[in-house]
Amino acid sequence: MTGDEIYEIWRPSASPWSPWVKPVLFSFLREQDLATANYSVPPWRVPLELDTAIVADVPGAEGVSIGIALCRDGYIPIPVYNACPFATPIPDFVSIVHSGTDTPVPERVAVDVLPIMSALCGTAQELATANISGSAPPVFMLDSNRRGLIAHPDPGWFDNRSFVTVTDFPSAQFFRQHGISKIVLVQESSKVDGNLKEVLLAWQKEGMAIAQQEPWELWAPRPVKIEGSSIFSRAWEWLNRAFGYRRNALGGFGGVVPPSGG
Amino acid sequence: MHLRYNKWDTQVGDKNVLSEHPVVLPIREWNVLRSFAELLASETTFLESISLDTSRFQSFIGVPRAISEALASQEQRQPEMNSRRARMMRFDFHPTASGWCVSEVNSDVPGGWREGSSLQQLYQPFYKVLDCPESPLDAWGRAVELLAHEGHVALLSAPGYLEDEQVVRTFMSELQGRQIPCSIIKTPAALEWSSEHGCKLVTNGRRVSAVIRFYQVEWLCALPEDTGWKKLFHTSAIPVINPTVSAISESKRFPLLFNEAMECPTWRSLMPECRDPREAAAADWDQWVLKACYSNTGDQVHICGALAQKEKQRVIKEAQRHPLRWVAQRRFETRAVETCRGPMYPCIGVFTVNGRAAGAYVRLSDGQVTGSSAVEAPLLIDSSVT
Repeated sequence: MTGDEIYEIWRPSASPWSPWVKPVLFSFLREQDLATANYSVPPWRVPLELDTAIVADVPGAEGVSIGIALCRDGYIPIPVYNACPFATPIPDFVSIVHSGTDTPVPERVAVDVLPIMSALCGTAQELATANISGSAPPVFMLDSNRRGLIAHPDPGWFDNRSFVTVTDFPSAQFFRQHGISKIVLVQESSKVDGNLKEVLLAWQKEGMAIAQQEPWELWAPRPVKIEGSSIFSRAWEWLNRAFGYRRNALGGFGGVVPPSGG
Repeated sequence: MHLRYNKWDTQVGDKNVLSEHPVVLPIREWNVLRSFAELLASETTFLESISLDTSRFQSFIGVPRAISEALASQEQRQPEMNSRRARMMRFDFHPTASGWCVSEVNSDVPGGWREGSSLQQLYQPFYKVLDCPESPLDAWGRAVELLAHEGHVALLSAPGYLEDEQVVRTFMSELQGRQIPCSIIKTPAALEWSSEHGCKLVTNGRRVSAVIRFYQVEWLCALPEDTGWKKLFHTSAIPVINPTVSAISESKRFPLLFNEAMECPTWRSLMPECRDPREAAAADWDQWVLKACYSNTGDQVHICGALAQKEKQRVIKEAQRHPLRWVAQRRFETRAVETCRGPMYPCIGVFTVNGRAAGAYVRLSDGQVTGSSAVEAPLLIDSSVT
C-alpha cells in the first residue's frame, strides 16, 4: 500500500469524524513503515455504545492498538497525533545523521513516534476490511508521551513535543448533533494530563458526561467530574509555555503566551 | 494539501478552514495593493533604521528592553549587514467603504507562504479565465538562494508549535527543490559560533550559511542567555532571515512613530488612526480596537464596542495599566463579501520580499477580527477587468 492509500483508509470520507484525523504522521511515512506487515493487536471486548465517544490517552503505539481493538466492536479510530517524527529532510534517511566524523549516529528525538507510524501502517489492512458503519462513534487516539519524557531536551535533539487543544476535537455541540452525549477517557493513570484536562473541561462545561476507564480491563467506565486546575498548576503551565516549552494555538489555557507567527 | 504541502491544520474545532472558492480581484485592484505594499515596505525599513538609532523610539513603541539592548549592538554594522539581508513582510489589507485600509504589518515571522503559493495553483485549473498572482514561496526561495547558495541553511522554529513547524517544513522543501541543504533546529543553542569558523551545527559540525528564523524575536529574548540567542542579533558572519530589527515594526505600537516621522505618507493614508491607550477619550472607547503590542493571530485584538461591558472594562483597565504593551487603533469596518458560508470579511495579506510585492495570503473571517480560525482562500486575478 502507498502512503496515500493508508491515509485514505484512516480518513474515510464517509465518516463525520474524519476531519479530525491529524495528517502529520501520514505525511512522513517511509518505506519501512509501509512495509510493516504484522502488527498484532490483542482483543478487547467493549460494548458498542452509540452515544459514547472514546479518548484513548495511552503511550506510543498503544493508542493504535486500542483504536483497532475498538474498531472490531464497531467504533471508528481517529488518530490525533500532532508530533513530527524527525528533523532530517530526507524521510528515508531517518534515524541517521552524521556526527562530524564518518560514524552515523541515531537522530535523537524528544518523543519517539516511529512505532506509531509503523502501527498505523501495520493495521491499515485490518481497518480497510473492517466495514465500519458511517454512524460509528469515534475513538480519538492520543500519545500520552506527547509532552516528552524529559523536560529540557539538549541542543541537537529534535524537540518534537506536542500538545492538544480544544480545537483538535469536535465541540460538544457537534457531538450532540451526532448523538454523542458521553466521553470515556481511556488511560492508565487516574491523573488527567494538563492540556487534555482543558479539553475535557470544555466538554463537561457544555453538558457532556465524562467517565474514565483503564485500558484492556473489563469495560466499566466510572463517571468522573473533571476539576479545574489549581492556581499553582496554572502558574506552572504558564511558566512551562513562557520559557521554552509551548503555547496554545489559540492562546488558550489562560492565553498567557502569544500564538504563532502571523 | 495534507500530505504533499505540509498543511496539517485545515480543521480548527468544528470548522474546515479551507475556502470552497477563491477570492477574485480585478487586476487593477491587485496592482494597487502591490504598489501600496511596496511603498509600505520602503517606509517601514526607513522607520526601522531611524528607530534603531533612537532608543527613545523603541521604548515608546513598547519594544522590550532585552530586545532593545540586543538591537543596540547592531547599529555599527548596518551598512555591512544590509547588503547581506533578505527581508520578508506581509501587509494586511481590508476593503472598506472608503477604499483599502491596512491594519498592520506582519514583519517578524509572517506566515501563509504555502497557502499563498499552492492554493491558487490547485484552484486555478477550475477557473481557467483567471490568473494566479506570483508565488510568495518562489520569491522567498530566490531571495534565500542568493544569500545561501553554498553551505547549510538552519531553519529555526520554537518547539511544540505545529503551525510554525508547517512553515519551516515548507521552507525546507522549497530549499531542497533548489538543491540547498538544510536542517530544522529548535533552539539557538543548536548553533555553535566561532570567529574562526563562523557558524556550525552542534550536531554534525556542518557550516551554516544562513539562519532562517521562524522564531518570534520576543520569544528568543525570553530564552536563557546560554542558548546563545544574542548571536542572532549580533552576527555579521551570516545572514539571519528575517533580521531581528523586525522586532521594531512588529510592535503594534509602531504606527505611533508616524507622528514623529514625516516620511511615511503611505502608512498615514492607509492605516486607521492609532493612539496610546492613555490618549483615548473615556466616552469614546467603542470607536477603538485595542491590540497587544506583540500579538500575532488576533487573539489579543479586542474591538471594544463588540465586548460585553465587564470584559470591555477588564481589557481597557489592562491596557491603561500597561500602556506600552498596547495600542488603540481607530475601529474600521471591513466590507463583507457574500460566500457560500454567508457574509465573510476578507483580509488580503500582501507579501513583500526585499521590498518587492510577492503574492498574497488571503483569509476570510466571519467577524471583523481576522483570527486563527479564519478561512484560508486562494487569490486569483481577473485580468479581463480593468
